[in-house]
Amino acid sequence: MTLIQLKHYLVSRNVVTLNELVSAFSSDSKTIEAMMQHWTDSGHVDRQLACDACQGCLTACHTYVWKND
Amino acid sequence: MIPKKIALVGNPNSGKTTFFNRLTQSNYREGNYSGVTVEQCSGQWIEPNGHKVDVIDLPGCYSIQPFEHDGQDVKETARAILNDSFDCIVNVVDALNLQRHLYLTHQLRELDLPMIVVVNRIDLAKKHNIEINIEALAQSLKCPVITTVATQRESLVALSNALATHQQGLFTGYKLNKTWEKIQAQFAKLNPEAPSFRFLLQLEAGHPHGDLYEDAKLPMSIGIADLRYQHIESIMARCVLKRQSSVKRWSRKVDNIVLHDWLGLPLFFMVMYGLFALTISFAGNIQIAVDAVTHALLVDGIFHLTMWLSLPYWWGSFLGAGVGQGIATTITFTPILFCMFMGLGFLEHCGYMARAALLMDHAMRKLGLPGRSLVSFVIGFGCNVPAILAARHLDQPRERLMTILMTPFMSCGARLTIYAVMVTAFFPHGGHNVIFLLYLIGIAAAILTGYLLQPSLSLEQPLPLVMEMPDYHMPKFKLLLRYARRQTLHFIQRAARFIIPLTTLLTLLMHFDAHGSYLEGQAMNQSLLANTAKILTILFYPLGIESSNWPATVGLVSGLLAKEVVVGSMNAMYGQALVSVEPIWPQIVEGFQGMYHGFVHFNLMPTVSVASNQFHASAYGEMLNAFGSSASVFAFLVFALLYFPCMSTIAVIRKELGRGWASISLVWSTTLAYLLAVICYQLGMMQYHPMVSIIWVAMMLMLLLLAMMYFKRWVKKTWKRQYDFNPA
Repeated sequence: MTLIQLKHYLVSRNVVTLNELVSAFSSDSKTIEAMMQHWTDSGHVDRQLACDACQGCLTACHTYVWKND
Repeated sequence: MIPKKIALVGNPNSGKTTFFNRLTQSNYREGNYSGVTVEQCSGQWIEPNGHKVDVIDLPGCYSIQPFEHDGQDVKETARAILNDSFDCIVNVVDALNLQRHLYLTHQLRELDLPMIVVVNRIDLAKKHNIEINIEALAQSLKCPVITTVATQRESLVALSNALATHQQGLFTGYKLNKTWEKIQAQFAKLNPEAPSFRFLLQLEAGHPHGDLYEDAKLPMSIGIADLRYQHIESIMARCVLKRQSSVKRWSRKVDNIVLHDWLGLPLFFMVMYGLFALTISFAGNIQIAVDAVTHALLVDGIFHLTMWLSLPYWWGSFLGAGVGQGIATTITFTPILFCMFMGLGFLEHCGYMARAALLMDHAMRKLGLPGRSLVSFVIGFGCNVPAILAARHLDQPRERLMTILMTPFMSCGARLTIYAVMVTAFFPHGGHNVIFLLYLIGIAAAILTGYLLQPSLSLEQPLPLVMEMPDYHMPKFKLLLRYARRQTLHFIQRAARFIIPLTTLLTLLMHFDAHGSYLEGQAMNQSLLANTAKILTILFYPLGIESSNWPATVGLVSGLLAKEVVVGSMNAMYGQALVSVEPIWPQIVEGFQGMYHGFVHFNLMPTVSVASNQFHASAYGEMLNAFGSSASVFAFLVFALLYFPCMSTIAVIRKELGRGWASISLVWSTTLAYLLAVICYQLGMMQYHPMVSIIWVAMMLMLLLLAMMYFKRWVKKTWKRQYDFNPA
């Protein structure tokens, strides 16, 4: 799993949750979060909550959105 | 060279401070989370051979190129590593999170400093069936690697031996790949004197050497980080073997049954049915005691207080039988809500709900409906408002629209209180069957709505739901309690906001007629509220609600504000007509005796949860007389399930989609509610007047077809106007 692979996955879907990335790359959430931090800090990705009033839904709260180049 | 000064470096929570305390016999604070060590700690380690070593424990950091938002402690660590002089760096990594920790390890290897890697928590890794090939790891990193359990003394011996035999790491020997070699070669031409790691830091910080990396669109920091992750991936593939844990194997076996093509869905419905039966039968017993206590304190207690204070009778009637009755009824059903949320929380946290979502996804996609909407639907069983907000994660506007219009049919927690009241009074045996049926009707109405929307919006074949299947595990009881408490408090807060002012207003209006005269007892049937409600009740004749049962109409109207207040307002009105003040303490004792009796003779087929001597003297008795038949009660429940979503839900729909779609939701849900409720009532009464019932049912079905056609046309028109696109 590399940063470029994460980028390609996110670009193809535009919006993904943290759990989707964990599932797609068979990794753990902390590793994915650390890697996505590079993209977030470079300004290519927005990290946001999936819903304003999280009631403990099935998907993780972190959502990553690829910003257009 | 025997090192005199070493630094413990690693990610937060890797075990550095535990290791440091063992080495130096200190007692610095350890913690199972990051941010515990916030400044450098120093101590002295006396090796087994007597040699003294200064040990520095640095705060944890994930990178020696910290991010902007990182704290001062992290930045200080990075500075110390780059500028202070250490004879050796001891990099502590966590065997359970090796992939993440290797990023810092990689950066440290680039520094060209003597280094030893300590793989900590190796015992836990073995428990998780993770095998690490230490020799292969040492070869890949080109430095000594030892394994430790930081709490054990043997680890110190291993470290001492490693320090004695360590070799200085050579940057030139640590090659990543050809791209990296090219970068290095080009840099050597530009800056032959500067150490390579300084060059890397310049590149990562965005210093203009950007054209050295192949993909010019990416910032250099991303390019370099990506190279490191590529190398880490190859190291993990060579050195780490993760066997499937026994928990995972067991989970897969259970999934063979739970996700079976034929057994899966019936099993799901059985589980949900079992949940309802257990909740009603268990919480119903607690409800007896809660009902007795709240009625004794908030209704009779207030009456006694007003009498003790020698206030006029109407004070007690107004405050006790009116406001107090409304609040007491709402509180009475918190045990059922709490237990329901505990049950739902258990199913979610044990891992079953994720499977249920997948099962429903398969079924929904076969019907051409989006499976990814299930997240919103599941939330909607608690409250529709966050469920609609959760639809924001759907990127397709059509899917989002469909989800938002389907969600209000999910029977929320507030509606459960309405069911519980009516079922208690009218279906003493098998009431849980009625509640389960109502939930199914709600789901069917949502699916019907989705079916109608699909051609109008021209949805493409929906994408499958992709989500992680967690392993099955027993959830912690504290977690479930916290979840259920949060959901129940949310209900009480919403109810409290509306029920006190609303019951106060309703009670006031019930005690005065159009001329301003005060009314009591049966005379309240001529009050301002009663006369207005009787006019509206005409609309509900086909549902079996007669003008004498005007409190039911008022209840439904009050439900426009919030469904939580329906029960309270109805009970306030039914209770007003027949008020008998009873002693407080005997009521409470009787309530607890009833609860005890219920638990002693516990069974999964719940029976009446109101003591028989209270039945006819209470609001329940009035309600039973007012409705007259189970068919009209069921019709009332169907209407309450499906009609106009509460104000908060409509406000959120309007905010998310606009006024047009909020209007569609409002009109469609109320129309569907009315037509289906009439059909249910007439089917229930068919044994008494078959011809009349058949005519009514036929008429309602025709109107339903017309309503469906008009709904589709309205949706198409609104979609076209909003997006200027012809979905056909």
